[in-house]
Amino acid sequence: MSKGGIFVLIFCLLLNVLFILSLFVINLPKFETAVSSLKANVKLIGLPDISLVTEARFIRHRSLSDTYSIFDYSSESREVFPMSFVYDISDSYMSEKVILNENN
Amino acid sequence: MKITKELRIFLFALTLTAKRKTSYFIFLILTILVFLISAATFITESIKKELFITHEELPDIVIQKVIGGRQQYVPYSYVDKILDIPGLKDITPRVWGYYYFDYASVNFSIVGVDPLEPMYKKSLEDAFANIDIGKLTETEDWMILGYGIAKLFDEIAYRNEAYFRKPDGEYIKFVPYKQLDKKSAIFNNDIVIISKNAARKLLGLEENLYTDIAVNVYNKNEIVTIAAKIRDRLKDVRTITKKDVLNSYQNVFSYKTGFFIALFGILLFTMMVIVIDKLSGLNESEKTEIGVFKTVGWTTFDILKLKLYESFIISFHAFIAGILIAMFYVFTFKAPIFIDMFSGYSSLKMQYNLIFVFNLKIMFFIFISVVPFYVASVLIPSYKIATTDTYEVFR
Amino acid sequence: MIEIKNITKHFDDKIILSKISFTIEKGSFTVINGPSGSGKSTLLSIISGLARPTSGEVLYNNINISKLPEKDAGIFRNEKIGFVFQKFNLVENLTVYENLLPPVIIANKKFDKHHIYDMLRQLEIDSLANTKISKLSGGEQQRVALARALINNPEIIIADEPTANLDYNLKMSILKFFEKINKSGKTLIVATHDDIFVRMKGVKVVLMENGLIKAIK
Repeated sequence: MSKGGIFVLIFCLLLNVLFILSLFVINLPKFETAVSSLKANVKLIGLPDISLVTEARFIRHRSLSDTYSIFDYSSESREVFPMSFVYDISDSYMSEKVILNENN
Repeated sequence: MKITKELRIFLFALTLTAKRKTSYFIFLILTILVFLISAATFITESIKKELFITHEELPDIVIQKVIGGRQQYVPYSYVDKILDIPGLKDITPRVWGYYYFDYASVNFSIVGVDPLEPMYKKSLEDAFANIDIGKLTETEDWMILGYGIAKLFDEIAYRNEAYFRKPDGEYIKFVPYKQLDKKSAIFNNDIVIISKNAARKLLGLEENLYTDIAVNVYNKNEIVTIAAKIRDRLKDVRTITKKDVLNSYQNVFSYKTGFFIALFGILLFTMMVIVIDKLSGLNESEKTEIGVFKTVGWTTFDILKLKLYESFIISFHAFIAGILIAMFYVFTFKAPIFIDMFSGYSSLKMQYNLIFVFNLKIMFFIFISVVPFYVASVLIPSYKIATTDTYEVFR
Repeated sequence: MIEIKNITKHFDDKIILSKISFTIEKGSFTVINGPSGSGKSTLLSIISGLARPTSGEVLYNNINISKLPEKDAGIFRNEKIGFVFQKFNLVENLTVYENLLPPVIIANKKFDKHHIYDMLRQLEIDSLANTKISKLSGGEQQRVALARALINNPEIIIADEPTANLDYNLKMSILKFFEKINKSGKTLIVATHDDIFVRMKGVKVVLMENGLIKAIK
């Protein structure tokens, strides 16, 4: 086999080994501490949602605000670009009905 | 004997791959494509995972008073009204709200905490390894800062004390006591935790009023029923259960259908260009190659095997390399530049601690749209050439 | 011995070969002569089993080449036939050594690197073993093509216009080389419109025109 072929073979093997190794290794030891830190923080604060945009209540703690109050801001909620981009209109008002129906 | 022949074809495929300049080019392009998409996937999946694993820690039910579609403060009497509902584990009237810090045009989330309340005491101890609860009860001017705010205060030299303006125009002084974990900045970036009494003063809340009531129940299956009972008793309230929050979260990353369709569109378009280019015919030297193989005794099947190995080596390892680079880029280097797309224009700069999540479904989808596509685009024209008259090929 | 019996080949409506019959003895030197378009190349591809005749058959030691399944035809070509082409048809981005690999790795015998180097030494190109084909001169490329044809020690060498586009010296060297391997017992079938082969001694010449045999000398 040529030098080039050996190079390709070694490169590919290394890549595969590295991939499998990193699947096991990457952040795994840190994972548990990171998760417990996240959980402790959320437990302490007790408020939902990520603090991506700090503009207003109905954006910041969106899960706690009314479904449509995001439109208080602007009917097409354009000004809050990343958030309006990130958030869809919630259909959470549906969920209880569904669950209640299931229970009945 | 048979095996060594297969092996020899495979090794020859390696040599051919190494010697063909186009294989490096295609490897590079596919790697970049896979990298872009898997990096975006890793980031969103990671944030999503963080949301979903932490939602467990939220109160089971949040009770808000709503009149005329506007949220109102809840009087303490509401707690008494629901106290005897069976199955309630704890009821915590909360004080929290927003404080507009106009110097930086940022809304802080002010969270009032009573260190003596067992629930808060425990979570304070959980969040900080060596916290002195006793010290927190002595004074009222302490504050615990979220990562973003601590950084902001550091920049504007609010290092030893910070002044907040009360609704009556007077200023109230706070001393930074601790900083919330940087790793959890995604949740605590804009949070200021102060004592409940101080929060009441800062937010202008009267003595027996609260922002909302957090309720935990014993039996998690009963949440919906208990929420219905609470609404029945209190009439003018809205209840937000964990399930509602989860539903809201589920929508959080529904922009994937926008952002990802765009990215996948790029991937599919590029793949299409490569495939069309390949399908429109092999170049002269590739044709000669296949012709030579046929004349020296290779069967069409042998040639297809060679081409399969060759194209698979390139596309599969481009796929692996793309994901590998994305993994290190996102989880080790915290995705510089790319993450800004997710931060938007937030005035408080965010520090992400992305936890490792590997979504097999999306990886499989990327794999499907890269590897088989490319392999097919190599095999089909090769088959066409291998089955036509070899002498025609040489002409 | 190769017996060619009543070979006819059609491409759509066009008749390329019609009723070709002749015999090639083992160890003989056959020159198929004729202008371009007379069907020489098609005849060679049928003899080697690369193409199938519309009717008729090619018998090699009483085995019908034209009816062999693809796999067996491949083994037949690999073991019994060496090809030399007008344009050499070498893989440009591979080295000399690597160009000799395709016939060897597919062969049903143990792979031997030294065998390839021996072959290169015989043709005096062993010093070029690790040189890319695109860096070789015409004469060197020709030798690589010959080495590839001979690597599996075939009984039959089929050459299609081996002297086209070559200067006189190269022509003469290839002629001598063919004579030499013919003497060593190999059967040679050369398709050419070059008179240089026709004038050789002890050569069977098949004259072709428009898909028909005009004369056999």
